[in-house]
Amino acid sequence: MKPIQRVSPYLFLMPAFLAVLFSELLPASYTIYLGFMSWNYISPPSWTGISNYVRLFLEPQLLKSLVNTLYWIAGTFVFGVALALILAVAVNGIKTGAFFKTVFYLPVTLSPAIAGVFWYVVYSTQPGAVNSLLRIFGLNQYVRAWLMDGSINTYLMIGSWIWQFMGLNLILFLVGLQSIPKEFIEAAQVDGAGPNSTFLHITLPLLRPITMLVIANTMINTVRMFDIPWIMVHGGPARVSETLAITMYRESFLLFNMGFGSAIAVFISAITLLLSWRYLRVLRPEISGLKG
Amino acid sequence: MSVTKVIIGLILAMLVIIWLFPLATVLVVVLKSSHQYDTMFFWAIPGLGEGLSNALNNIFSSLTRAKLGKNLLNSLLYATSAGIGSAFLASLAGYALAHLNIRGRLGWFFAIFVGNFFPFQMFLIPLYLFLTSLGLYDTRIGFIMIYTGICVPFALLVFRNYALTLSPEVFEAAKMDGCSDLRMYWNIFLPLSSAAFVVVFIFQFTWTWNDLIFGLVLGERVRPIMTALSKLQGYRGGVSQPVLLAGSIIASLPTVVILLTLQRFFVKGLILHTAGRG
Repeated sequence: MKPIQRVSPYLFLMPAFLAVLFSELLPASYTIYLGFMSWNYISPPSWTGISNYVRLFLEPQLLKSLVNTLYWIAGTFVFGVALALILAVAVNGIKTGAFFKTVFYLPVTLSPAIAGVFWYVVYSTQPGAVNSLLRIFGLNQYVRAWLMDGSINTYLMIGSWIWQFMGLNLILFLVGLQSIPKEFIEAAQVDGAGPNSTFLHITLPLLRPITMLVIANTMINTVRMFDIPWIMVHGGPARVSETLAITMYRESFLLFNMGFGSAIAVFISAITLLLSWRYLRVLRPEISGLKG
Repeated sequence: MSVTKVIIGLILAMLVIIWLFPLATVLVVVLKSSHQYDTMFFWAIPGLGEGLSNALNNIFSSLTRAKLGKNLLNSLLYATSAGIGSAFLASLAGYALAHLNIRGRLGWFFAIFVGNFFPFQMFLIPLYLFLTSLGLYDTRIGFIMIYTGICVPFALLVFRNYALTLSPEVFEAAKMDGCSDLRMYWNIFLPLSSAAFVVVFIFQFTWTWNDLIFGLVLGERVRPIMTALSKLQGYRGGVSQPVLLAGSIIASLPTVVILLTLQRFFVKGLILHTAGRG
């Protein structure tokens, strides 16, 4: 074999590899390295060992961000995954199904940033869609600066996020439902199973692979979620609604604690990898090309 | 039975109202002039003709006074380049991994695909430093490079899995006839893989178009559209809400059109992205 023939396959591979090496692999490694440094971007970085990681668990603000992130995960699990599954079952096979599918899918075509802008206007105080609606119904005592209320704005933002992506999960569940052979359902019904037990004992187990993927995908995207909370309140008021993703950005690029910001990024990665462990296992046949 | 149906119907109707509520809000705001927005009742709208001309005025102000026109063009450039660029790089690599003689194929594949599993927060600080040191911070070429690179892992997944469905005999026969690797790529592989191109392009165009955080970190003057919108919004933005929303609507058009018309490809890519069946 001529040398050129031996080298040529790698020439096809290298551009993609180098692009990923410089945009993702080296940056990720460098972030891990910076996580052990103290660096304010002005004086040179200095080694501090694991003190950034210790700080993660000691600083009240980080605890706050972690708790908020857990709220986001719980909220999206219940309303982004479970609701999507129930809706998919309710909408599947009914005549108006296409209408519902389109309505719930519409926000998916918007970017999260734009969804954030839309909901920001909905809750805005000048004069605001929700507030003016409350006034129409004479519920003036409930009128308030919704997004400036730190005790509720996290829930409102989780709602906006669910509004944006829930349709995606709905469609994935519908695809899963349509792949279940009708005979299974019919056989169960012939045997006298009601709709609830058909759902629990036939539909749900058969949907398991897609359910796991939807859960993992949703959780991962929720932990990373930056756009909606940033656009709507910037983590405010006074940082009470910050999630880990927001805190990472603020520490790194507004407060210039590059080392601490890196440690938060590594922490987010660890959570993501933990959540995607099962997902990776399900995806494995797909990745190694045995299926598809 | 029918009672449950009524309850399900009511819940569905309620959800539809919630889902359409923000869109209705956007509509009543964008049909008002900035002055009317301050003075009129929130849910009132001016007459149809006046409303439409207000909407056009708002769009015009968002493009010119708020200078979103420039950012829209930036995003169009970034999203198109990243979509085509990542599809091209991934098509070369996917072809090589499936049909050329490469040692440790799976290892190479994972080395590239693993990038997909990191949250973007892992890349932000080093990419900022990297572009700054190259003098490419806040340049269009810097944005194009980074967006393309970030798009490659998923693009490779699509192309590699697609390439594996093509029969190896075709490539072996071509090789016997003395066809070079490049000719096989150009004359056999590329013409066969247009579906993969479409899937990758839709996904990566949409992702790049929608990006906010890289835009915040990697530049100022040549910002993409979502970042520019995020700067307009809020108390410091200095733009009235009708103009802000008009800009948001314009910024949404490309992805809304793409994802509604090419939904079939999108869902196919989505399944590939999340589930185990292509």
